Amino acid sequence: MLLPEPSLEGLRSTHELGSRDAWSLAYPLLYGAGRQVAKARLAGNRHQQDREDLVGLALTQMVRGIVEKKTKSFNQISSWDDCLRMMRSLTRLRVTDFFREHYRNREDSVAEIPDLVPFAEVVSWGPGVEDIFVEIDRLDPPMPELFRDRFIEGCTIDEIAERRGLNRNTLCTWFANALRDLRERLNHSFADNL
Amino acid sequence: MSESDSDPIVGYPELLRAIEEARGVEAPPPPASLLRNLEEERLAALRCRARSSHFRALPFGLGTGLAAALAIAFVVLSPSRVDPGATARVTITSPGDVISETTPEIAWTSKDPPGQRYDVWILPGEGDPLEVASLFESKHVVSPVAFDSLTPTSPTEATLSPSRGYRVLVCLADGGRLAGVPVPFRVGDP
Repeated sequence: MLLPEPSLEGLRSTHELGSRDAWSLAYPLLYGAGRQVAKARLAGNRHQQDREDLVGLALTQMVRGIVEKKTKSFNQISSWDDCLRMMRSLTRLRVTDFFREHYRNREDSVAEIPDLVPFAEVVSWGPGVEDIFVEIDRLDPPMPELFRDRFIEGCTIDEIAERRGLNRNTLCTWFANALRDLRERLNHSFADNL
Repeated sequence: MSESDSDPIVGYPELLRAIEEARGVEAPPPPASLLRNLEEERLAALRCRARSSHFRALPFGLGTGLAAALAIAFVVLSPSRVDPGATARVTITSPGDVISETTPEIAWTSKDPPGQRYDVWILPGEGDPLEVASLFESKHVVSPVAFDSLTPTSPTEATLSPSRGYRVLVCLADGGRLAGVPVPFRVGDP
């Protein structure tokens, strides 16, 4: 189900009612965007609460940044898509912080707000990339289900292997082949659209 | 980037990013506790923005801008002067507090220079605070303001009504309603 998108003017409004209405639309959408990033980057059932905390932290920064309008990064947001992009960037940073805190040292933990990097500058495929799950669904079975286990459910490779009764190394090989196949398909799709 | 270094997606950062940004992936609604925290953050950010815009908009120094914010944040309602012997004071310490008086005296604290004047509005509980018609107002006043010195905008309403919600807004004189954040309160049941 597609939820209605809030207006950027509403999110930045100083009118209490206008602000409240816009943010009530924004919360579930931004939460969903952050959750999607967190599940892809911090997989595993045991990190479920960590993911919730990190997304909540990123969302809090979003609210503060957009409403207060104090920093350049937030002031250069000019569309709802920019908001989603910023939410994903903040979530990635918070996940990176988590890894640094738990698996390396705490000193290089970052807390800065990212500059907006247009998606097109990062991924070279352009049109069609939003349909990546359409391409995933075209992979040979059981890869579509395995991709959903990994990226929608947020399971680790080990958890998928246990859930599906598969050998871990076999699963890694399947994923590696499928990812290579997926990259080629998207490269072809992009070339066709040029 | 997963906990396991052997996760095959590690070698495909562009695919990872595309999957993260794919649309149409359904998510459950945010937990109620998170929504409560976010609303608190939003209201705090609005107050912070009102303070900074107030400071920018008015030709006063930093001290005055800060004091005006304090005036808004610490609005105090005390019992009416109808009972001059009363010693108890009813204080709104958080939005949504309930008072018992229908003709409360309105007082606030600030660190503004002596003589600083303020505009005070009593607004309905609902509606855009910048646009909604005020119920009572008083311009160029200092704290405290007796209720009977407020000007009712409706000839039929001389006092607040029991069992109704209101908002009180105090801003530096001539700064307009944008300079403050209205504080909601409610008059209790009779």
